Amino acid sequence: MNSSSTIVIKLPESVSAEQVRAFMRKLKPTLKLDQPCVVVDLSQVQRIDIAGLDMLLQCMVQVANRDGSLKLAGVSPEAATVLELTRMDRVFNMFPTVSEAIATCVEVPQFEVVPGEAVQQPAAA
Amino acid sequence: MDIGVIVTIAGDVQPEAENGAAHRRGLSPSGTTSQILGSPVAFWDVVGQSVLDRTLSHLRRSGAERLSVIAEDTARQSAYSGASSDPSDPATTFWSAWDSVVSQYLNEGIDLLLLVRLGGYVELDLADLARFHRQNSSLLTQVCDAQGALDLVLVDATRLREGTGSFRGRLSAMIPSRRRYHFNGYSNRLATAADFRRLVRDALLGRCGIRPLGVELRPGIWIGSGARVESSAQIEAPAYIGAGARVRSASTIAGASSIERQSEIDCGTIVDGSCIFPGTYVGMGLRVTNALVAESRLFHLERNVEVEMDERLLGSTGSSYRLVSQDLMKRAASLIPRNNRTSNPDVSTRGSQMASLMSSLMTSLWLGRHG
Repeated sequence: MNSSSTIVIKLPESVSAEQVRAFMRKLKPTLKLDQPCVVVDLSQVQRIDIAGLDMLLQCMVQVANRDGSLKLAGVSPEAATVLELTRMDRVFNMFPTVSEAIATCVEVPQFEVVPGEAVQQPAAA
Repeated sequence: MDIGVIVTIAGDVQPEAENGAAHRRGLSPSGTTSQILGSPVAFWDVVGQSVLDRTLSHLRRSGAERLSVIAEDTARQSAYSGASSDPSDPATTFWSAWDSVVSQYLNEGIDLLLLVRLGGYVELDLADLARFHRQNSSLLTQVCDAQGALDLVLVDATRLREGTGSFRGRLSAMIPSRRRYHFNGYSNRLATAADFRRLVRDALLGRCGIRPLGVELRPGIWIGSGARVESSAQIEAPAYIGAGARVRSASTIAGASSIERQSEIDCGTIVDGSCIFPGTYVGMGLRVTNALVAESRLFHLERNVEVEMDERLLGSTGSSYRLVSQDLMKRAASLIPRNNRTSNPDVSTRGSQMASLMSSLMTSLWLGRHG
């Protein structure tokens, strides 16, 4: 049995169908763990289309199926506007910063946020 | 008294000579290009009619018979009734058009020349301005409101006619001796998107002279010709539904919102404190609050940010994207596992999250009222 795990995923400026496959591929190992805590950093997002929103929903469903949680962090004004328009601001837990989102995860492993790197996987799960 | 009026649509025209840029040097205090969502603010509708048309109507009612419109962005150049330049000639520059209209007005014998730059919306009392101008023997009178000078100038045509050099040069020479006319009526500089929203709100609340174009079906609710509001839609006063617009079932229009002509608000969507510009399709189950929306572009007034939306959410009423959006609704519904659809929220963490997700999704975009 795997212990709980936290992963931080930073989305790029534009989130569309092209990014979805890469996002889900990076997320796949975490979704095999129990109670995964997925933090999605939206601070750089300028534009997100339906495929991007769909991706967040899919991610949320899959994480929930493992008794985990999905948190949105540092949501940019543009992303916040899209989430409000689609009423998804009520669906997701949102936090001002990545650190605050991580602090709410049940178990916090050591990890490092590397600028420019899309995905930071914790050192040990 | 014969007054000629030149209305200039603010754009990006550059001054071409040191002494030839009266608008930039001294008479255009706002210094804004007044663009909202990609177009000059003058062209956007305010409860049924554009700022430009409302300004022209107001000036005509005030007694101005000669009216010309020149866009600083010459690609948009057009001439309205009265003296005219050639709007179809793409090579005509702003300043040559301006000179041409002034020359024509002067040849026709005008007494006064009113220069209006849009920009802002001002309910000017033209007769009172002309009286002030005459009584003070002013060559050039600039209109000011409580915030300072406006892009409105009245010029003595005789002096303009008798001078030497270009008309702009003669106008520039009058600037140092200008007089200021303090205006107490309604004005809105329309320098920001929030100003535009305020103008719409003021119109709906009767705080200015603008009256919505349509019939007041109930107190505070105006409906344009051919607009359709489905029976289960909720419209809270004050509100405006423009000509040919459609408000579909289970949607809500609130917070002094305007739905301009030929727009469509799809089922279950809430529009609150917002302006939906002409020809805009607002998709199913959305929530538009404190925003200006022109097709796929949304300006959020609180966040002060403009976002280009997916055209399946916001777009043009002529677009076919909505069919795709409906397909996505079904796909989103299929994301939720069947064995979790009736889960008890109190049973487990997983059950609780799925129940919460279901509940939220039922009110969200893709499931909406018709999921």
